[in-house]
Parts: sequence; structure tokens; C-alpha cells
Amino acid sequence: MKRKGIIVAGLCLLLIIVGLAGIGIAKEYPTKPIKGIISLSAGGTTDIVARTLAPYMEKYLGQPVVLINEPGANGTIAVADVARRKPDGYVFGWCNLPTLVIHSQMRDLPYDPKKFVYVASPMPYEYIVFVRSDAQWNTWEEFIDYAKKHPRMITYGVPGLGSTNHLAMEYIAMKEGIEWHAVPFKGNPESIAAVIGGHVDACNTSTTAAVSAYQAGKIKPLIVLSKKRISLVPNTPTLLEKGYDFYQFSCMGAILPPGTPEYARSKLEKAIEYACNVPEVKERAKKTLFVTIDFKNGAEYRELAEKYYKVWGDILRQVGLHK
Amino acid sequence: MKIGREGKIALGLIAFCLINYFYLIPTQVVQQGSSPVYPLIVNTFILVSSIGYFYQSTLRRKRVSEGEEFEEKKVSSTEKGEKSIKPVLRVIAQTAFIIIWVTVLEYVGFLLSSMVFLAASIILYGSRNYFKIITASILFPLVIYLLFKVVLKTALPEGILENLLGSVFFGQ
Amino acid sequence: MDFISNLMKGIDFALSFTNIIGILIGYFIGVVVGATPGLMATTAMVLMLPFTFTLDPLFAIATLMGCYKGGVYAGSITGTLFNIPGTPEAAATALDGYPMGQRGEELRALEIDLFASVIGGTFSNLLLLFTAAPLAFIALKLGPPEVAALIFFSLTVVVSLMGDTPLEIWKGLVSVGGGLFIGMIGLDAMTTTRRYGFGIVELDKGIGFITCIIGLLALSEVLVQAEAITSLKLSDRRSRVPSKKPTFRSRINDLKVCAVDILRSSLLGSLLGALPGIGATTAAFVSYGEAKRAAKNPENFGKGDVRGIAAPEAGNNAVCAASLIPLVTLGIPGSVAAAVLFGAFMVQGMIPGPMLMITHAEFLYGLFFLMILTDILGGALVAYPIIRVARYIFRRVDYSLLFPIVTVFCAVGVYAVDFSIFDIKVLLFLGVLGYLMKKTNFNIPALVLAFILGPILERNMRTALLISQGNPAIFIKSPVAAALLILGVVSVILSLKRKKRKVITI
Repeated sequence: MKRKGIIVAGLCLLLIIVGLAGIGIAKEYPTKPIKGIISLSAGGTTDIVARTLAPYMEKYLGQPVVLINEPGANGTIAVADVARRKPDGYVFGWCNLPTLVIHSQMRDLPYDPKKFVYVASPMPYEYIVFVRSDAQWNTWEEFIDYAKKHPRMITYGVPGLGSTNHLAMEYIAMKEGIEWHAVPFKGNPESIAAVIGGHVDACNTSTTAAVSAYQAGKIKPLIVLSKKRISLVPNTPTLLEKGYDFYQFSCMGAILPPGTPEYARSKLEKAIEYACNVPEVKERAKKTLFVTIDFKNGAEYRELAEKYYKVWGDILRQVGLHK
Repeated sequence: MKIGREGKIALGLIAFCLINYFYLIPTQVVQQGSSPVYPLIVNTFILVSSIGYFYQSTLRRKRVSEGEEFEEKKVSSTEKGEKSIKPVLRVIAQTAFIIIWVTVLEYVGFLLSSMVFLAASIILYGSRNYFKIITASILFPLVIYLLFKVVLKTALPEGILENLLGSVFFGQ
Repeated sequence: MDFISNLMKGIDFALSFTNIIGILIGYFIGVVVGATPGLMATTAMVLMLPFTFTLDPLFAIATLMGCYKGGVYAGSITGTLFNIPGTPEAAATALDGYPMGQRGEELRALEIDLFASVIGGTFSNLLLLFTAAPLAFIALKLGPPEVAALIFFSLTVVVSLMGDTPLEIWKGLVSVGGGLFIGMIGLDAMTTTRRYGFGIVELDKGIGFITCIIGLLALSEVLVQAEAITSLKLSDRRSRVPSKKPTFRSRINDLKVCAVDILRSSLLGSLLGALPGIGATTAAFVSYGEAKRAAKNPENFGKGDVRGIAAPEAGNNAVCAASLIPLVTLGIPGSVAAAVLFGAFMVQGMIPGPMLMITHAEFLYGLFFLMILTDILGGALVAYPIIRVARYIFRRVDYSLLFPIVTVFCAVGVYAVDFSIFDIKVLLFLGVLGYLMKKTNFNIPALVLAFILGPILERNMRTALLISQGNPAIFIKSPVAAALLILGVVSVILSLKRKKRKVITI
């Protein structure tokens, strides 16, 4: 009888310990390193900005942020991966806008972009068309003129079919009545290298990826596709200045798998906001990366995505790529 | 014409390619909206090399039967001579152990499941020194677990044992 | 003179006690992780990166570089001793290293591994120092059609040089096809549509690189040993084969024998390394193949020939430094390791690209100098003692403990990549596949290489066709691509013909 009592007591003790351990584990998020999936290739604008923010996010979160690149199909490969992850807040994705608003209108995707938890957007991208520095075209007009006279001759590199880079060029082609065609690369660094190597004629790329090659004099800008001029190439005009009724917009943003709890989202949102407001980050963004940090919180980011879902949807219909 | 072991494998490969052509590519590639061009190229490549493989293996067998080459006999004698049923069973048992281990890993936790797995497969591999079996199968998972927990700060699948350990040593 | 002054400044900038300790620590971690079957040095680098954020830039990058170099070298240790290559590139080394080790000459094999690695690494470091710019120019000129042709050529080289009979060559070709097939599983990298998904969502990501390598190369060997262990009684065999220690004279002799191969492989490795994405595995196998082609008695290869160890080791270690060429000159990281280094540069406020050479010359030259030190000091102070320890383990270890522990390492190594149990299941499937392939004498290295290169081949093929608007003539129009394609086809046909004649003459 006595022995039985001891066993029961022992079991109770064990249960208590296990129970306490269970309670003890519920510490404040995050308690372990967070994995960030970068949807575009290493060396691209998204990658560089994400890696610039990471140390400061780490400081805020108190846990390492482990970044990995999973490039492919303009970021949709990585976003599809994020969609499948456990929604515990320990995996998030850095993605571009097309993965959320464009590709789903072009073809069936293995994920539903509306279901993601939108964390925040640190900045919009800015776009420039570059050609090789020894190319025969010096201005946008010369380039368009040549393209008109030589249909189907011009090739341009983009970081993926269905990227805003691709759609913007197709929109221009439709407006000007020219025929040129896109060659998708793994990311902007690869498409810039293809321009330098002479495998394609031009590329439409976001700024940071092109900074080094431009400063080294390997490529020259023809036109800015974003709304405003860019400090990297202050003398290059924008499409709007040239009389087009169009500018190319996309932004970088962080998303969490569908169903991630709010405490994780808001913590990450604050970490990104904190990192965006660090003076060193602002300084570096302006002077070496040539991007404009413009923090948008989760709600604003979602709003932005909804707005551009329609904008790009219209353009998709006009250039005939809507599904 | 008799078809040897190599020939049978080749026929299996050819059958796979045909299945790939007529079933897998239409359902798993085209229906999913993917371009079938590259899969078709790869499949054709496998098919051509399998046919070459089949041709070569039957060709070689013919020579063997004519007594021109003794290479294959040598191979088969060493293989078949020692092939008792037991060693293959070991492989199957080890595979089964891994399957069981992986299946319960999530529910039981890394420590307990790995300890049992290690002890079982060490015995399977032939050790009968129980001191070694017990120390190795308890210490090794513990070291790995602590390496992940303390150094890398990431967790392997957790269960009862991990929680207990956590409450005793980390005061969580 | 600009170059020399930059170099001197760089040396001055880099040469400090802490930096040297840094590269040795990095190298040590790389060797230990790389030598542990199932764990990959690149995984270690990814996990280490966040901890380097707050460190001194040069110290951080040099440490990571040391880890990379150590990892690439160390895969050969377990490959040689247990036929369990720690890295895919070491699969080539194991072809000859393992037989030599089984003869009782494991110390000789390990030392050649190390010597060839150090020489190959140093050669490529120097090449990086002096010729980064021209090599980058060559790499730029190779567009999608050329890269696709080069991959085709590499695959044919592996097949045609690793088989000795037509049957083996056909099997090699089938293995290549299998590798390409496994590489296709998952989402199409250009359109995000599913291929061979079979309704399993986890397969969308494709078969993981590390899962595939560990399953086919390491776990398969564990299963093979499960079968072999009773019939051979490994513990007895170890006492049966006496250990042969290399003498001073035999070492010199070995080096003389493979001097030419080491040099050729170093050059090949450096060239292949400079191309983004091609990587160490290709370099190791092409080097192995070329050494075999050049040898007067190629039949010794695969049976423990020194040249078969030295050539792939020199080749794959030469890739390390060369893979920095596209990174620092073009801003394109050519491998996972290079992508991690890119991140390290980034965090420290430097954007790799053509400007890096101009704006951070002192830093870069300092880094190059540290890399030269890494190979030499790391080899002498870290790797040499470690191979002594590894050899001691090899002599003393109880195999019945070793293989179960390796199994756990494999599973943990795969799990650590993505924290997914599904990956361990895939690992097991591939391990069984590898076991069956070993039993039926299929060519696992060819399959692994095709798996690694398949997605790059597909992407470049499709990009080339997009550039030419669907006209396949683009592969013939480019002289480089055409030459590589023809060479590839001819080498397979010749090897089939040549070997056939040989069989008939028997």
C-alpha cells in the first residue's frame, strides 16, 4: 500500500513538473531566431534592403534574423513557400508587390495572396531602364525610334515575367506600337550582367541592384519609370515628363503565413518600423543604396496592395496578359 | 533470348518512361499549367539511354553465354555466394527503424525517440556491449539537443523529456 | 604600381592577430561541420551570419570565408575514411580515396587530400588576386546558351570518363537522366506552376539540395553498411589490414606523380568557379575526369590512385576563391556560400559589384591576403591535427556505434535546414534509392551532379530560347556553345566505341 502511495505521489510530481515546464515555455515572442525568406536573388534591391534592415530588427527583437534567398519566378516561388509555413511568427517573407497583386491575375498560383498577414512595407522600388554604356542609343527617343524601325529585334532583361518591370515595358510597347520582348532572369543582378555581357539589349531594373555597375560606368540610364526622378541618375527624365500617363509602382513588403497571430505581426511591424527610423539606415539608404525609405504599416500596406491590384489588373488586360 | 537482371532493370526504366509520357506528364505537368517541353526532353533522354542500356545488357549477356567474357560471372559469384537473407533483412530493419523514428519524432520529441532509435539500431549493427549502447544512445542525443538549444537557439521537436529538462536546467 | 601599393596597404590593413585567430576559428568550424556527415558548412555559414553583424567587417567576412574553405576541404575526410562524403564535391575524392583508405593507407590518402586542397586553394587565391578582372570578363561573355552548353558538356564528361564499359556508360546516362528528373520536381522556376507534385504540397519547393546530397551520398552508405557489416565484420577487417604510414620520400614521390594533375585541376577549378552557379561539384568531377583522360594507365582510377584523389580535391578547393570573382566584380553570388558572403558584405555597408574594387580596394586586398593565409595556416595548424584525430577515430571507432550516429546526424542536418519532418522522409526515400543504385552499380555521382546542375541547365536553356524567340539555332550560332555541344556528344560516342572495341579484344 505504501509503495502504491509513493508511485502516485511520484506521478503527481512528474505531472506538476511537466505542467510547470509547459507554462514556463510560454515566454514572450520571439524566443528563438526568426527566418526571413527573401523572394528575390542575392544582390538585388530587395535583398540588399532586407539585409540592411536585419541587424536593427535583430536589435529590436532580441533574436537573430536568419535571411535566406529563394529566388525564382519573380518571387512567387518564395511566397508560395511562405504560404505553406507554420503560422507561428518564426518565418516571414520579404516580397515584392507583383507576387501579391499581379501573378494571381495572370495564372493560377499555389497560394491565395489575400490570405497573407501583411506586416509592413519599408519602401517603394524605383525603376530605371539601362543599356550598355557603349550602346548606340543615348536617349529614350533614340531607343524607341530604333525599336520601331526594328520590330522584334530588341530584347530586354527583367527579373521575371509578370514583374512590374515586364508589364511596364509591355505597356510602353503597346502605347508606342512597338514589338520587343522580355527575357526573364533570376533577378535584377543577373539581368544587369546580361546587359553588360551583351546578351540582351536593355534592362528595366530597380535602383540598388544597378548602383555599382552604373557607378563603374558599365551601363547608362535611358529613362526613369517611377513617379519621380532618382538621385542616382538626377539628369535622366521620367516617363511622366516624356508625356506618358503612366508610372511603374511596386513596393517591398514583409508578409507572414496566413493565420499568424496578431502579437507576432505587430512585433515584427514595430521591428521594421524601428529599423527604418534608425539614422544610419536612412543615411545608407540615401547615400549608398539610392532608395527612399517610406514606412507603411500593415493596414496601409494592405490598402496599397488592394489599390494596385486594380491598377495592374487594368494594365494586364490592356497588354493582353490577364488570364 | 534470356533477359538478365540488368535487362530487367532496363525494361523497368523503359516502362517508367512510357508511364511518364502517357500518364505523368499529362496529369502532373500539363494539367498543372506547366510547360511540358523540358520534361519531355528529359524523359526522351532517359528513354533513349534506357534503350541503349537494355541493348547493351542483352548484348553482353549473349557474350557471357558464349563464354567470351567471365567478368559478369565473377561479379555474380561474389554477390550471390555470400547473399544470405539476413543482411538484406538488416537493411530493411534499419529502414523500418528510421521510418518509425521519423513518424514518432513529432509526437514524442527528439530526445526520447532518438535514444530508443539509437539503442535499437546499435544493437542491429551488431554491438552487444550494453554499457556502450546505453551511454552512446543517451549522451549523443543530449549533446545534439543542447547544441541546438543553447548554441543555435533553435529547437528540435520537443516532447516530455525536453520539457522536463527545460524545467530542471533552464528554469523555464 | 597601383596594384602593388593597394596590396601592401591591404596586407597592412588585414594583418593582425585577431584576424588570424578569426580565420582559424572559421576554418576550424568549417572543417568540423564539413567533416560531420549530414552537416553542411554552408548551413553553418547561414546560421553564423547573424552573429557577425556586430563584428569588425574584415574579421566577420574572413571568418565566414574560413568556414567556407574549411567546409569544402573537410568533406573529403569522411569521404576517404568511410565513403560518406560530407559534401557533394567530395564524392569525386571518395572514388579513389576510399579504396586507398581500405588498403590501410588512409593517412597517405588524407595527406594527399590536404596537400592538393592547400595547393588548389592557394593557386586560386593568387589567380583571384591577379586576374579577377579578366576572368570576370570571360564569365560575362558566357550567356545563357553557352552556360547551358557548358553544363551539357560537364555532364557528358562525367559520364564518359567515369564508366569503363559501354554498359557503365549507358547506366551513367540513365543516372544523369534520373538526376535531371529529380531536379524537375516542384514548382517550375519560371512560371510557379507545379510539376510532378502528386498532390503533395511540401513537394512544391522541390527536393532540397542538402536533402538530396545527404540522402544519396551518406544515408545510402549507412544502409549499404547495414548489409555489409555481418558478412565482413568490419572490426576484424580493421585489425587485418595493417596501417601503412607514408614516409618523407613517399610523400615527395606522390606529389611528383600528381603535380601536373594538381595544376591542371587548380586551373580548371578556378575557371569553373568563376562562372556563377556551376560550382565545386562540377569542378571536382571534371578535374577527376580530365586527370583520368590524361593518365597513361586510367584503369588504376577508382582503385585508389593518388591522382584520383589529388585532382578533384585541388579542383574543388580552387572553386572557393574563384567563386568570389563574380561576387566582387559583378555583384552576382555564384553559390550559396557566396550569397552568404554577399550578405556579410551588405551588412557591413559594402555592396559587392564592380565598384567594390575601387571604393574598398584596401579591404578587398586585405581579404584576399587573409584567404591566402587561411589555406596555408588553416591547413597546417587546423587541418593537419584534425586528420590525425580523424585517423585515430577511423582506427578505433566501433562501427556499430558509428553508423546509427551518422543516421541521426543526417536526419538532424536535413531537419536543421527548414525544420520540416517531411524533409527527413524525403531523405529516407533518397537514401533507399541510393542504396538500390549502389547495389545495381548505377552512377550516383552522375545523378547528384545532374540534380545540382539540372535546374541551372533548364533555366539557361529556356532563357536562351527566349532570347532567340524560340529558335534552337542559338545553341549552334554561338561558337563556344556549338564547340562544347559537339565535344560533349563526341566524347560520349567515342567512349562507347572505344570501350566496345576493348571488350571485343578480350
